Amino acid sequence: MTSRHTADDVLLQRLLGRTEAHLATSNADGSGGNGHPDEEALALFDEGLLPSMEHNAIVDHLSNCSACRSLIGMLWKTEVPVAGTLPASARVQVIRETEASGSALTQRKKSLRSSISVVAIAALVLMAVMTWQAGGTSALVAERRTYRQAEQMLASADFGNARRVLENAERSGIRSGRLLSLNLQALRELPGSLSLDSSGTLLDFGYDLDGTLSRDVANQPTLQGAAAILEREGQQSDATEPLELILNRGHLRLSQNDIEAAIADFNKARSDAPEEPLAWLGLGLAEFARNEFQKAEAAFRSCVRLAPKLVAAHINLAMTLEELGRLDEAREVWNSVVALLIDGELRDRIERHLEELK
Amino acid sequence: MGLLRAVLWFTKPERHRLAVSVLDPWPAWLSPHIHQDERRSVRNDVAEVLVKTTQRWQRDVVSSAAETKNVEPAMLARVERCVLHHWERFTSSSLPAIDVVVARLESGDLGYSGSQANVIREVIMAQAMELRDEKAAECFEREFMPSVRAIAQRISGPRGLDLVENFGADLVLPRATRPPRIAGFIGRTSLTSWLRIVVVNHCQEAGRRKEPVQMIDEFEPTPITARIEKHDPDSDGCEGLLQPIFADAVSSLESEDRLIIKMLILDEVPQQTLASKLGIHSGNVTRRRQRISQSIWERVNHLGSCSSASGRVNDCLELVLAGGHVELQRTLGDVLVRAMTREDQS
Repeated sequence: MTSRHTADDVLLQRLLGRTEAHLATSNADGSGGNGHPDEEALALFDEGLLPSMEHNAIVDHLSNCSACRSLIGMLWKTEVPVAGTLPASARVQVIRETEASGSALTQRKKSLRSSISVVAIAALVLMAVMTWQAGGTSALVAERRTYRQAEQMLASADFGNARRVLENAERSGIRSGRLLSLNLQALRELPGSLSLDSSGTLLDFGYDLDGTLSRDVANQPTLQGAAAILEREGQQSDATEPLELILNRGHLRLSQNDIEAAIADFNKARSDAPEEPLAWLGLGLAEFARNEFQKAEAAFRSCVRLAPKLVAAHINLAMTLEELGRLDEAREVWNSVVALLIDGELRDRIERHLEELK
Repeated sequence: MGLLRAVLWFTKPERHRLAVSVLDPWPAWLSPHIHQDERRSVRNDVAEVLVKTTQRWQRDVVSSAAETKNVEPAMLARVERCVLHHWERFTSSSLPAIDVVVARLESGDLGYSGSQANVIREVIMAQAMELRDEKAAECFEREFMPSVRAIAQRISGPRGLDLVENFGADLVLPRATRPPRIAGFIGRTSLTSWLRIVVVNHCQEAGRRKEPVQMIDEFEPTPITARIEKHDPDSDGCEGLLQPIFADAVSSLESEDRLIIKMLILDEVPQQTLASKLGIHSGNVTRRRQRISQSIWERVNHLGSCSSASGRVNDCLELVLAGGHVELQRTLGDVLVRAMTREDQS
């Protein structure tokens, strides 16, 4: 695109945005009321299955209704997954009757499909030749597949296989920020794709419930491998890296006691995604680690506001309040933690701690 | 041939047993195919197939249906609506037997590529949920909530899981002036496809509730020329002069062009995705984008030259269209936005 076009886009974006605001006042629903198409019609439009008259009516509506358009835009932009096959209990024998196989629309689609098929086959042959020449499958597809596989393995704590899958991908030249992020998780043997999800309390960083630091987590052997990978990849953040990498890197740096670097990461995560509770959770942990308890309290409270059921945020907040000497408030938060926790060792420990506080 | 076969199928005597009339009024699209005398018997046959089908899937997804053969009239009406919709779709080139249509819908063969779902079972499940049936709610939780959670997480990140925590209940709760949301699913497509839209909408609504609402005055319906004349160029500057012209230029685009430019520029939908969804070649989208952009500026130019302040408008347009002066154009864009904000507030 030329600079002229870029400049046009900048102007168009601003001016279109403003003219849209005029139309957006009462169009905030998009579920069939107030003249909006119903959700089933929008679903059919999304799938490209509407008859042409109805399709045109929806196009007309979307061109003037920012609420419905942003709904469809979000669906298309984020590639929302299409889930589910037919449940086994519901499967019956597929009965096909050739004479009943379709409307005129379907017939047109079929003839279109057959011509598309010819083009698709030609494209596949071309792609196969190109792939053979390039020596591998499409990097994008392979990256997605690797990510899915490794993510599933991490979710089931299968760290060895996750590392193997990620190493193989790297050897094949398949790299991305989010694969690096999963690799950090696999090397640190943390389940799931986000370290703060599974390891986001002050207890995970060596503190006891009363706030005393009883363990040094910086010397854990699993940290070294992850730190080496991070060192090799370059520690500077850039504008395109995914949020999960920023958060996991911040967690790793915090575990290494590199608190300032961790704060920089969590602040970046916070500015990229102000509504992401884990960014606030990480920031609170880092502030606590450098004894800035008031800042830690503010961060943990933001996290609790965004994710009221995130137990780690409540635990950290209670411990911070104890450090600030506000024991009544701390007790109140500990009680809310107990209410959130199902029976378990942690709940017993917290109940014993609450007894001691009395 | 298809029509003859269908009529013969309908008129077989053994299919005339059940006298339940659920098809009322008789669908207009089917009437020309059936002789007046045969309508009653055909209607009964259709009703029989619908009742049996509904009974079968009720046993699968409705708690109380295991012990009884009764079919709720509301349930039957919903299934009928769904089946007739698809029957009509399938019959524009031939007339299939109703039980063939039902079998196709049950096997997930909707005649759409990429859709596979037992739509009749899903419609029954939706109706049972609306009637607060426990078993239907359990089926929904088991079969559909994993996708609901995945979609919500994709849209709203980890917070999405909180947003859909009580999603099943939200679907069946009555709304102020409208029926519960689940009533909107009539089985024109699969429940999964419908849920994609509903969940994205649900997450967006939750996001909007968190944002402070900025009230903006209604769009002023004054004719464009009057609005241009109204401007005082000395006080508003050229930026204020261009704003109403621009709004008019956008509204004069064809609907599809307006949708394309807004989705590309405001919603940031990738060009290839937009092309495939609207059934346009990706290369055509590039050309159309350029053409639409050019058309907007030309229209702005034309409207400006028609106004009494044409000399001043032309000066402003030269600034905007002075290709290559990117910084100048950006500055102008900023000033334009400020001018428009002032106009909104006034």
